Amino acid sequence: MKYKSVLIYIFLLTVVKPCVSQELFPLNEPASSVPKNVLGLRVLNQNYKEVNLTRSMYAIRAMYGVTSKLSVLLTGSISNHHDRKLPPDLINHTHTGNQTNYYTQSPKRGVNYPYLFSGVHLYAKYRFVSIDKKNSHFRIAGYGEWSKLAVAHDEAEPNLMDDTGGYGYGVIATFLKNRFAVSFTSGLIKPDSYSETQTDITGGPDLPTTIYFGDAVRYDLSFGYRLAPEHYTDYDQPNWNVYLEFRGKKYDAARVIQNGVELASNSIPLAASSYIEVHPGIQRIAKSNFRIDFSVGFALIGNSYVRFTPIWELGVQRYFYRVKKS
Amino acid sequence: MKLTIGMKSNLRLGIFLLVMIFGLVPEESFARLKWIDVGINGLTCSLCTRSVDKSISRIEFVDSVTMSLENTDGRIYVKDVEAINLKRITKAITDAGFSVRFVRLQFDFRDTQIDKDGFFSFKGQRYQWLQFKSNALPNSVTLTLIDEGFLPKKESNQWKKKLGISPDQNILYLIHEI
Repeated sequence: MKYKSVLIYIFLLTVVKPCVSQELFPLNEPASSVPKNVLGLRVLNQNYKEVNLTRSMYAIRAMYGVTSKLSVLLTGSISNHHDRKLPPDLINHTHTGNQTNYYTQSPKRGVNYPYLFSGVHLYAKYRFVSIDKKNSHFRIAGYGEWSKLAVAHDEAEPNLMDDTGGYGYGVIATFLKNRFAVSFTSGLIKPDSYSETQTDITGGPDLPTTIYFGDAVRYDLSFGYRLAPEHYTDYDQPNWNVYLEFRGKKYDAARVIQNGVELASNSIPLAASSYIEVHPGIQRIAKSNFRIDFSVGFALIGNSYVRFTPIWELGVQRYFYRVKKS
Repeated sequence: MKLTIGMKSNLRLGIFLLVMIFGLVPEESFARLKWIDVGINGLTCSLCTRSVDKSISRIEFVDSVTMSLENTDGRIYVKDVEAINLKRITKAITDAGFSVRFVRLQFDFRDTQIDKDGFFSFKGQRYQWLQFKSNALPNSVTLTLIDEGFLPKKESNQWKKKLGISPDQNILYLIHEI
């Protein structure tokens, strides 16, 4: 397959070309911190094709180094992923005599939604291990994240920031040694439930409906490599870096409770599942500060039901340093 | 010999003048810090190096910084100020998220009086030059700080053990060669 050739090419580059690696991963946060009192701004865009339309997410993120070890990231996003209410075809019913039996089913894909404010996401990481040597380091950080969402998500897989509210926590370990850089992230996601009232098709009072999304374990692995320059001479040299990031998630099934009764599920996106994606990426850094990241993600094992692949992601970032003497 | 009132006044004046000439002129005014070299551990990218550069540049007494991205070290020139607190430099490095590999001071000791045990003061800080040989004082010398924070902890402890010093919080310890 085409993408496998890309992966092999990147791996060969990593093994053959000797130079210093990079940990400024386009997707996964490294264990390293934002420098103290430095403000970073990042704009993110994500796109994927769903049937005949393109689902897009745009986000803006402010990053700040509170201390030398504690960094805080605040993100706000808009997207056309979801509506304010659940899809009307998520819950269906059959009749047995006078009895109406409700059940969940897979909603139709490719339904057009307007761009809506998705929500906010707060992320903090604290670096508690630093073993630094010349041109190398090993760091471990703990992170916590919290997200408040304003849209209705209808899949079991929790995805904090732009799909699901809730919180998460975990650890990140990042290791760099000359040609080799690797970062591993593992954590838990504990999503909030989503509630709304639905009209009773039998003419009764409105039905309180709640989705309890599945808890999830995430496990991400990132590799980074500097293509250029071969040797640093000044801050103005453009940097070209390549990355290979694996993102994995295992999550429980969602439960839908309507009017106090758990509905039978006939919906694949609401079932428990797991998957691993691979995201090759390339990055250019201008004047040692202005970062442009581009990556494309493919399903490797299983599939995410929140996203379709390939997923195209773009990120632009820069730091703003305080220049006043202190 | 009995001192008259006039002799006493002259003696007081003489003592006053001596104090003015030798006492109030600080000994460090003869020494000059030409530059400070710092080595930084954990740096792997130009963005990281830039962060360290900016963090050090914000220190009040720092005039300019030149970083070597390839060697992950930097040369700092300081302003002619009353006091230089070198711990501000190491804190700037750790604030940027990295660690100190070394801090070396390039001193010009021309015409400087250094105690036979290597003690001297400079810009509000007391230093001891360990293994100082007063008969071989070069004009320009590179001294490396061996206190914790100015070297990786393990190396600092090794030096303290090797030289048998029990550190005084008010003194920074220097050696000629590492």
